[in-house]
Amino acid sequence: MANRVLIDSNGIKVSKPGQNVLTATNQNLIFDSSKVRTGQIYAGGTNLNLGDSSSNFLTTSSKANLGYIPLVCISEKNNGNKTFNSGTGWISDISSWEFTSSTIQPVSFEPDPPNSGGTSGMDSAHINDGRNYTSISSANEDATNVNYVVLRIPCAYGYMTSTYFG
Amino acid sequence: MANRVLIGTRNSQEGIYVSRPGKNVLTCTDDELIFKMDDGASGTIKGLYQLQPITGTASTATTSISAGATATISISNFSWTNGVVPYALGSVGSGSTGGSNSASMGFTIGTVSTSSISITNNLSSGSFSLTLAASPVMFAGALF
Repeated sequence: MANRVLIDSNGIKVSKPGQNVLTATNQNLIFDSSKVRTGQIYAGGTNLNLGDSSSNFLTTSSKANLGYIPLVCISEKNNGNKTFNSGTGWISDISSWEFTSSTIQPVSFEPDPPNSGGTSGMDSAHINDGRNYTSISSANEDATNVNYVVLRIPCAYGYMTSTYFG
Repeated sequence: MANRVLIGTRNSQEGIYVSRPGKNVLTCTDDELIFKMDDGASGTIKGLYQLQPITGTASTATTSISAGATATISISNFSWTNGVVPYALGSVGSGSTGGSNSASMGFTIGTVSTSSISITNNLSSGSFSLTLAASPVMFAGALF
Protein backbone atom coordinates (compact mmCIF):
# COMPACT_ATOMS: atom_id res chain seq x y z
CA MET A 1 0.00 0.00 0.00
CA ALA A 2 1.24 3.47 -0.88
CA ASN A 3 2.00 6.08 1.74
CA ARG A 4 -1.16 8.24 1.69
CA VAL A 5 -0.86 10.80 4.52
CA LEU A 6 2.09 13.08 5.25
CA ILE A 7 2.25 15.32 8.32
CA ASP A 8 5.52 17.19 8.73
CA SER A 9 6.80 20.67 9.53
CA ASN A 10 5.40 21.94 6.20
CA GLY A 11 1.82 20.85 6.89
CA ILE A 12 -0.45 18.03 5.73
CA LYS A 13 -0.73 16.27 2.41
CA VAL A 14 -3.06 13.43 1.42
CA SER A 15 -2.64 11.60 -1.87
CA LYS A 16 -5.09 9.77 -4.09
CA PRO A 17 -5.48 6.03 -3.57
CA GLY A 18 -2.48 4.27 -5.06
CA GLN A 19 -0.31 7.39 -5.09
CA ASN A 20 2.72 7.79 -2.83
CA VAL A 21 2.24 11.05 -0.94
CA LEU A 22 6.02 11.40 -0.57
CA THR A 23 6.55 11.67 -4.32
CA ALA A 24 3.11 12.52 -5.72
CA THR A 25 2.71 15.50 -8.03
CA ASN A 26 0.08 18.15 -7.28
CA GLN A 27 -2.54 16.51 -9.49
CA ASN A 28 -2.31 13.35 -7.43
CA LEU A 29 -3.02 15.07 -4.12
CA ILE A 30 -6.56 15.34 -2.75
CA PHE A 31 -5.50 17.65 0.07
CA ASP A 32 -2.49 19.94 0.35
CA SER A 33 -2.19 22.47 3.15
CA SER A 34 0.20 24.62 1.10
CA LYS A 35 -2.77 25.79 -1.00
CA VAL A 36 -4.70 28.87 0.13
CA ARG A 37 -8.17 27.64 -0.83
CA THR A 38 -9.88 24.25 -0.97
CA GLY A 39 -13.29 23.16 -2.21
CA GLN A 40 -15.11 23.52 1.07
CA ILE A 41 -18.84 23.36 0.41
CA TYR A 42 -20.54 26.26 2.15
CA ALA A 43 -24.08 25.85 0.81
CA GLY A 44 -26.06 24.45 -2.07
CA GLY A 45 -29.29 23.11 -3.48
CA THR A 46 -30.64 19.78 -4.71
CA ASN A 47 -33.10 19.13 -7.56
CA LEU A 48 -34.56 22.64 -7.61
CA ASN A 49 -37.05 23.76 -10.25
CA LEU A 50 -36.28 27.46 -10.34
CA GLY A 51 -37.81 28.35 -13.71
CA ASP A 52 -36.71 31.97 -14.22
CA SER A 53 -36.22 32.68 -10.51
CA SER A 54 -33.17 32.97 -8.30
CA SER A 55 -32.13 30.80 -5.36
CA ASN A 56 -30.81 32.32 -2.15
CA PHE A 57 -28.21 29.98 -0.68
CA LEU A 58 -27.89 31.85 2.62
CA THR A 59 -31.39 31.10 3.88
CA THR A 60 -30.74 27.66 5.36
CA SER A 61 -29.51 28.04 8.93
CA SER A 62 -29.23 31.80 8.29
CA LYS A 63 -25.73 31.50 6.89
CA ALA A 64 -23.45 34.52 7.05
CA ASN A 65 -22.60 36.27 3.78
CA LEU A 66 -19.06 35.30 2.77
CA GLY A 67 -18.26 38.87 1.75
CA TYR A 68 -17.39 37.88 -1.81
CA ILE A 69 -19.00 36.26 -4.84
CA PRO A 70 -18.12 32.58 -4.54
CA LEU A 71 -17.36 29.88 -7.06
CA VAL A 72 -20.58 27.92 -7.71
CA CYS A 73 -20.75 24.61 -9.58
CA ILE A 74 -24.12 24.03 -11.25
CA SER A 75 -25.76 21.18 -13.12
CA GLU A 76 -29.20 21.53 -14.71
CA LYS A 77 -31.48 19.78 -17.18
CA ASN A 78 -31.34 22.18 -20.14
CA ASN A 79 -28.09 22.79 -21.95
CA GLY A 80 -26.82 23.73 -25.37
CA ASN A 81 -26.07 26.82 -27.41
CA LYS A 82 -27.91 29.20 -29.69
CA THR A 83 -27.35 31.06 -32.91
CA PHE A 84 -29.27 34.18 -33.86
CA ASN A 85 -29.70 36.72 -36.63
CA SER A 86 -28.98 34.21 -39.39
CA GLY A 87 -25.83 32.94 -37.85
CA THR A 88 -24.10 36.26 -37.16
CA GLY A 89 -23.96 35.58 -33.44
CA TRP A 90 -23.59 32.63 -31.16
CA ILE A 91 -24.15 32.03 -27.47
CA SER A 92 -22.02 29.16 -26.35
CA ASP A 93 -24.22 28.01 -23.50
CA ILE A 94 -27.87 28.77 -22.79
CA SER A 95 -27.25 27.51 -19.26
CA SER A 96 -26.18 31.01 -18.22
CA TRP A 97 -26.19 32.25 -14.64
CA GLU A 98 -25.57 35.41 -12.67
CA PHE A 99 -23.96 35.09 -9.26
CA THR A 100 -24.04 37.37 -6.25
CA SER A 101 -22.69 36.84 -2.76
CA SER A 102 -26.08 35.40 -1.77
CA THR A 103 -27.91 34.15 -4.88
CA ILE A 104 -27.73 32.34 -8.17
CA GLN A 105 -29.96 33.66 -10.94
CA PRO A 106 -30.70 32.04 -14.34
CA VAL A 107 -30.26 34.64 -17.06
CA SER A 108 -30.54 35.24 -20.80
CA PHE A 109 -27.56 36.74 -22.60
CA GLU A 110 -28.40 38.92 -25.59
CA PRO A 111 -25.16 40.20 -27.12
CA ASP A 112 -26.95 41.98 -30.01
CA PRO A 113 -24.01 42.24 -32.43
CA PRO A 114 -24.16 45.15 -34.88
CA ASN A 115 -24.53 44.75 -38.64
CA SER A 116 -21.82 47.38 -39.02
CA GLY A 117 -19.83 49.89 -37.01
CA GLY A 118 -17.89 47.45 -34.89
CA THR A 119 -18.40 47.34 -31.15
CA SER A 120 -19.97 50.80 -31.09
CA GLY A 121 -23.14 49.22 -32.40
CA MET A 122 -23.44 46.86 -29.46
CA ASP A 123 -25.20 49.39 -27.25
CA SER A 124 -28.22 47.13 -26.92
CA ALA A 125 -26.30 44.17 -25.52
CA HIS A 126 -27.75 43.10 -22.22
CA ILE A 127 -28.37 40.31 -19.75
CA ASN A 128 -31.91 39.68 -18.54
CA ASP A 129 -33.01 37.80 -15.46
CA GLY A 130 -34.69 34.55 -16.44
CA ARG A 131 -34.39 32.57 -19.66
CA ASN A 132 -36.39 34.05 -22.51
CA TYR A 133 -34.58 33.17 -25.70
CA THR A 134 -36.46 33.60 -28.95
CA SER A 135 -37.42 30.28 -30.56
CA ILE A 136 -36.52 28.14 -27.55
CA SER A 137 -39.46 26.86 -25.55
CA SER A 138 -39.63 27.40 -21.81
CA ALA A 139 -39.42 23.65 -21.30
CA ASN A 140 -36.04 23.64 -23.07
CA GLU A 141 -34.51 26.68 -21.40
CA ASP A 142 -35.92 27.07 -17.88
CA ALA A 143 -33.72 26.25 -14.90
CA THR A 144 -34.97 22.77 -14.04
CA ASN A 145 -33.47 19.92 -12.01
CA VAL A 146 -30.84 22.30 -10.69
CA ASN A 147 -28.12 20.94 -8.43
CA TYR A 148 -25.48 23.34 -7.17
CA VAL A 149 -22.77 23.71 -4.59
CA VAL A 150 -21.33 26.97 -3.30
CA LEU A 151 -17.62 26.67 -2.66
CA ARG A 152 -15.72 28.82 -0.21
CA ILE A 153 -13.58 30.18 -3.04
CA PRO A 154 -13.85 33.77 -4.34
CA CYS A 155 -14.60 33.85 -8.07
CA ALA A 156 -15.40 37.32 -9.42
CA TYR A 157 -13.70 40.48 -10.62
CA GLY A 158 -12.23 42.34 -7.67
CA TYR A 159 -12.11 39.28 -5.44
CA MET A 160 -9.27 37.33 -7.06
CA THR A 161 -6.76 39.26 -5.00
CA SER A 162 -4.34 38.76 -2.14
CA THR A 163 -7.03 40.08 0.19
CA TYR A 164 -8.92 36.84 -0.33
CA PHE A 165 -6.09 34.53 -1.38
CA GLY A 166 -3.28 35.89 0.78
CA MET B 1 6.06 30.11 11.29
CA ALA B 2 2.37 30.32 12.11
CA ASN B 3 0.51 27.48 13.77
CA ARG B 4 -1.15 25.78 10.79
CA VAL B 5 -2.69 22.56 12.07
CA LEU B 6 -4.94 22.17 15.10
CA ILE B 7 -6.29 18.94 16.46
CA GLY B 8 -8.18 20.19 19.45
CA THR B 9 -10.60 22.90 20.51
CA ARG B 10 -11.51 25.95 18.45
CA ASN B 11 -14.59 28.06 19.17
CA SER B 12 -15.52 25.63 21.94
CA GLN B 13 -15.70 22.72 19.49
CA GLU B 14 -13.20 19.92 19.18
CA GLY B 15 -12.06 18.99 15.71
CA ILE B 16 -9.35 19.16 13.07
CA TYR B 17 -8.48 22.53 11.54
CA VAL B 18 -5.90 23.69 8.99
CA SER B 19 -5.26 27.33 8.20
CA ARG B 20 -3.91 28.99 5.06
CA PRO B 21 -0.15 29.44 4.80
CA GLY B 22 0.84 32.34 7.03
CA LYS B 23 -2.36 32.29 9.09
CA ASN B 24 -2.51 31.22 12.73
CA VAL B 25 -5.03 28.40 13.02
CA LEU B 26 -5.71 29.40 16.63
CA THR B 27 -6.83 32.95 15.85
CA CYS B 28 -7.65 33.25 12.14
CA THR B 29 -11.15 33.74 10.76
CA ASP B 30 -13.21 30.85 9.40
CA ASP B 31 -12.60 32.13 5.89
CA GLU B 32 -8.85 31.72 6.43
CA LEU B 33 -9.20 28.01 7.12
CA ILE B 34 -8.64 25.57 4.26
CA PHE B 35 -9.96 22.65 6.27
CA LYS B 36 -12.34 22.69 9.19
CA MET B 37 -14.89 20.57 10.95
CA ASP B 38 -18.26 21.92 12.04
CA ASP B 39 -17.60 24.41 14.81
CA GLY B 40 -21.27 25.10 15.42
CA ALA B 41 -21.10 28.61 13.99
CA SER B 42 -23.07 29.99 11.05
CA GLY B 43 -20.20 29.23 8.73
CA THR B 44 -20.70 25.48 8.84
CA ILE B 45 -18.86 23.59 6.13
CA LYS B 46 -20.94 20.82 4.60
CA GLY B 47 -18.14 18.84 3.05
CA LEU B 48 -15.26 18.94 0.61
CA TYR B 49 -16.05 19.19 -3.07
CA GLN B 50 -14.57 16.22 -4.88
CA LEU B 51 -15.13 14.69 -8.27
CA GLN B 52 -15.13 10.99 -8.97
CA PRO B 53 -13.70 9.62 -12.21
CA ILE B 54 -16.31 7.73 -14.17
CA THR B 55 -15.23 4.33 -15.40
CA GLY B 56 -18.49 3.31 -17.04
CA THR B 57 -19.28 2.96 -20.69
CA ALA B 58 -17.64 5.69 -22.73
CA SER B 59 -18.41 8.31 -20.13
CA THR B 60 -14.93 9.72 -19.86
CA ALA B 61 -14.64 9.57 -23.62
CA THR B 62 -16.86 11.35 -26.12
CA THR B 63 -20.40 10.18 -26.68
CA SER B 64 -22.09 11.14 -29.96
CA ILE B 65 -25.86 11.64 -29.94
CA SER B 66 -27.93 11.92 -33.12
CA ALA B 67 -30.79 14.37 -33.60
CA GLY B 68 -33.84 13.42 -31.60
CA ALA B 69 -32.07 10.50 -29.96
CA THR B 70 -31.50 9.71 -26.30
CA ALA B 71 -28.27 8.13 -25.11
CA THR B 72 -28.10 6.29 -21.82
CA ILE B 73 -24.57 6.43 -20.50
CA SER B 74 -23.64 3.82 -17.92
CA ILE B 75 -21.68 4.86 -14.87
CA SER B 76 -20.21 3.00 -11.95
CA ASN B 77 -22.22 2.85 -8.77
CA PHE B 78 -20.25 4.99 -6.36
CA SER B 79 -22.63 4.24 -3.48
CA TRP B 80 -23.50 7.90 -3.25
CA THR B 81 -26.55 7.74 -0.99
CA ASN B 82 -28.20 10.90 -2.25
CA GLY B 83 -27.53 10.36 -5.93
CA VAL B 84 -25.40 11.74 -8.73
CA VAL B 85 -24.95 15.26 -10.12
CA PRO B 86 -24.01 15.08 -13.81
CA TYR B 87 -21.89 17.70 -15.54
CA ALA B 88 -22.00 17.62 -19.34
CA LEU B 89 -20.14 19.60 -21.97
CA GLY B 90 -20.68 19.20 -25.67
CA SER B 91 -19.65 20.31 -29.10
CA VAL B 92 -21.48 20.25 -32.41
CA GLY B 93 -20.56 17.19 -34.43
CA SER B 94 -22.29 17.19 -37.80
CA GLY B 95 -25.30 18.47 -39.70
CA SER B 96 -26.94 21.87 -39.78
CA THR B 97 -25.81 24.11 -36.98
CA GLY B 98 -26.87 27.57 -38.09
CA GLY B 99 -30.14 29.32 -38.78
CA SER B 100 -31.97 32.36 -37.61
CA ASN B 101 -32.73 32.42 -33.90
CA SER B 102 -32.37 28.70 -33.52
CA ALA B 103 -30.77 26.43 -31.00
CA SER B 104 -27.80 24.89 -32.79
CA MET B 105 -27.12 22.45 -29.99
CA GLY B 106 -29.75 21.76 -27.43
CA PHE B 107 -29.71 18.86 -25.06
CA THR B 108 -31.43 17.91 -21.87
CA ILE B 109 -30.19 15.79 -19.05
CA GLY B 110 -32.93 13.27 -18.31
CA THR B 111 -33.13 10.49 -15.78
CA VAL B 112 -30.11 10.26 -13.53
CA SER B 113 -29.57 7.18 -11.40
CA THR B 114 -26.63 5.70 -9.59
CA SER B 115 -25.93 3.53 -12.64
CA SER B 116 -26.72 5.71 -15.65
CA ILE B 117 -27.34 9.19 -17.03
CA SER B 118 -29.64 9.80 -20.00
CA ILE B 119 -28.99 12.67 -22.42
CA THR B 120 -31.39 13.72 -25.21
CA ASN B 121 -30.49 15.67 -28.34
CA ASN B 122 -33.45 18.02 -28.79
CA LEU B 123 -32.69 19.08 -32.34
CA SER B 124 -34.41 17.87 -35.50
CA SER B 125 -31.14 17.55 -37.36
CA GLY B 126 -27.45 17.39 -36.55
CA SER B 127 -25.50 15.38 -34.01
CA PHE B 128 -23.22 16.51 -31.25
CA SER B 129 -20.66 15.02 -28.92
CA LEU B 130 -20.62 15.09 -25.15
CA THR B 131 -18.25 14.43 -22.30
CA LEU B 132 -19.46 13.81 -18.77
CA ALA B 133 -18.27 14.09 -15.22
CA ALA B 134 -20.12 13.43 -11.97
CA SER B 135 -20.11 14.47 -8.36
CA PRO B 136 -22.22 13.28 -5.43
CA VAL B 137 -25.43 14.97 -4.28
CA MET B 138 -24.31 16.25 -0.92
CA PHE B 139 -27.66 16.36 0.86
CA ALA B 140 -31.18 15.17 0.14
CA GLY B 141 -32.77 18.46 1.23
CA ALA B 142 -33.65 21.18 -1.27
CA LEU B 143 -31.26 23.69 0.27
CA PHE B 144 -28.38 23.03 2.60
